[in-house]
Amino acid sequence: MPESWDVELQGVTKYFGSVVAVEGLTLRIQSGQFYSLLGPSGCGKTTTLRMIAGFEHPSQGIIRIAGQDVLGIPPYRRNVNMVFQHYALFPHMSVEENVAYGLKQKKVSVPEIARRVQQALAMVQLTGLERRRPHELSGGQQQRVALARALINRPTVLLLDEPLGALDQKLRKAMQLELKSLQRTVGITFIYVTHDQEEALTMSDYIAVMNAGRLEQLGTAIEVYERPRTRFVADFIGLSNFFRGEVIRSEGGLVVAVDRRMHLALPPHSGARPGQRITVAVRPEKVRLAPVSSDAPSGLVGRVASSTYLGEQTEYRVGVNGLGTIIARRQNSEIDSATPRLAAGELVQLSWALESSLILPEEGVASHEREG
Amino acid sequence: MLRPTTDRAASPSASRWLVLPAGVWYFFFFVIPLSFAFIFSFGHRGAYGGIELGFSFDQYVRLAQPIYSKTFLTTLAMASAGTLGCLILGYPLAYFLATRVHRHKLLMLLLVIIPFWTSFLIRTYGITILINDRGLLNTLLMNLGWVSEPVRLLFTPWGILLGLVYNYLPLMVFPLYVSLERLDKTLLEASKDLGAGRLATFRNITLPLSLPGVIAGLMLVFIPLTGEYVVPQILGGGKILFMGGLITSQFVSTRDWAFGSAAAVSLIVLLLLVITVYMRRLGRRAEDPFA
Ligand SMILES: Nc1ncnc2c1ncn2[C@@H]1O[C@H](COP(=O)(O)OP(=O)(O)OP(=O)(O)O)[C@@H](O)[C@H]1O
Ligand SMILES: [Mg+2]
Repeated sequence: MPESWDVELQGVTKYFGSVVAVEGLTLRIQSGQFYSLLGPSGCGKTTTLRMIAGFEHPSQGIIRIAGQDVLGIPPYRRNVNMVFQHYALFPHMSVEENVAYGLKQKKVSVPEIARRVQQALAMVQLTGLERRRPHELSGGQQQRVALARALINRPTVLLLDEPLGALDQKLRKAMQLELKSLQRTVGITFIYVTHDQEEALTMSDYIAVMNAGRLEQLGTAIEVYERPRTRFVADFIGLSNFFRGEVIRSEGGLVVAVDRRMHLALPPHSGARPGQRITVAVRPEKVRLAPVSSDAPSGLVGRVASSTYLGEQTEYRVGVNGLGTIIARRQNSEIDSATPRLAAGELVQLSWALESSLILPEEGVASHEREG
Repeated sequence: MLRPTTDRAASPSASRWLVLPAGVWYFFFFVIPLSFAFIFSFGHRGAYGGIELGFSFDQYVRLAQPIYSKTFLTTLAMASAGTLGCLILGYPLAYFLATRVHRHKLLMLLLVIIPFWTSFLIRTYGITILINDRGLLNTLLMNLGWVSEPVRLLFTPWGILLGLVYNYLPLMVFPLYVSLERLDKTLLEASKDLGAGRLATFRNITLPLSLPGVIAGLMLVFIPLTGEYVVPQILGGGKILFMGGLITSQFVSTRDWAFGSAAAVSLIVLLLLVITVYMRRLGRRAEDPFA
């Protein structure tokens, strides 16, 4: 395979004593991609980054950077730079000295360093703050210094470990866009670690969803959101309603018998076979709610248990006999006299488009087996 | 009614009382004796010892005599050498304890202070047994054939230096250990990530960030060393006089309180001078809000 990847992990496993931090991880990261590692706390994201940077050594497996096996190459000889979670700016150095640090180590000439520091600071809009110390900067500014300090070295790959984690919501959003456009401008491969699914969805070209040290699903933002392959992914990325049951044949085609009385229709070409036990996932925003009009309603009917105003949306919890609680979300902008707000206690009719049903393997027999 | 207690505790009028016990202590045992010394230094020795108050600079003029200024210089030189010795031995030790020891850290720190559990005098006399002409050290060196006759250490400046470093090393190690221990290890990783090897990382990050600890250690060792008189007495055999020894003898044996006070006041002034100059130079480099 003469294919060239900027970073390639092949069956990488990392043990800390008896703790398995990363297990059998295989990733191929193309040049120029914005690649996210997404997963809950403790799933091994930081450990993966640290292995690429050279701070940890894989217990098993191979890591290649620009095609070269980096086994035994210390961090200071890898053409990779890292933006640390808490930035790790040098407190005793000015902004300028922080940013110049990498070039100084490479013995770049003084005028060249000065020129590139100016360039890097302009890129992250920090011109004029050269003489400040890190503690004299806001969180967002510190973040930019950390970025400039890493990018000035023109690494093959930039590693970012939850770089926006310490910022408030609004600044986070602004920095997300800025980071993304910066990445497009410089064209450097970004490997971006986050546990925030929204962040990963908005920024990434490609997402690797991790769970308990393993790869759960790989794909573009649309793929992992619209076509999650495991219950974990459907649950972690966005909310989902889950229904477990057995696939049976009925007049209209295949259905899932969630309960003896409750049957959910399956989309055509779902690939499910009769007798199989599966989980059906439906996103709350795909669930439609309508006030019950007739006296003898058909289909799914439930009673609104609670409604929660979320700003842009309202979330309804609807109790349905045989299915439990179903969560539905409605855009508040769609509320008008024809579709009024629903009140607790109201009877409602629930429905969703057939193709909104995501078919997942039953939990426990997902894409991988877990050994004890 | 519930009242928040936190803002009361934080109010300046309440926290002011916290300094009271220490304030009283310092007033009675530091400010008053020091004032006495200051006043005494302008007086004269009484006919039967003690003090006759007055106002003259006679004692200070006496101090300017070569024999006494030599004592001043000896004191400063020996204290500086002892401090330097503590730093040279202490820094690597503190660095090792802070960065390389992961298990039994407390035990290792305990080992550093265990010598302090024995009396200062006993420890210092103990050294005479080690370094005298027929002591352990010389026996070893001669048996190994490295020297043909005993190395003279006891009753020489080197012997004193050895005793000073031995006794004061923990005072250097602790502040160094603390500053190295709390150094954010991700800064070292950031440095390596940016292309600096181990040595460059030490020079650029570890050393400057441990400077506050270095300064504290130097102070903690240097200041008491200038007042030291037990070690030069025992290991120097009374041949090498420190200011501490001079002052003690004035008060205890010669009973010339005026001269003793003048010597003490001069020593304090001299120390203040040295420290100010040195803080100005090092302090600027260590000016670090995170420390
Ligand atoms: N140095 C270490 N020694 C022992 N265990 C470790 C070490 N570093 C990480 N681990 C363990 O490895 C697992 C993965 O840790 P890692 O830091 O990679 O998680 P993460 O995905 O970055 O989590 P978070 O989102 O909370 O930062 C965790 O169970 C953690 O406790
Ligand atoms: Mg992490």
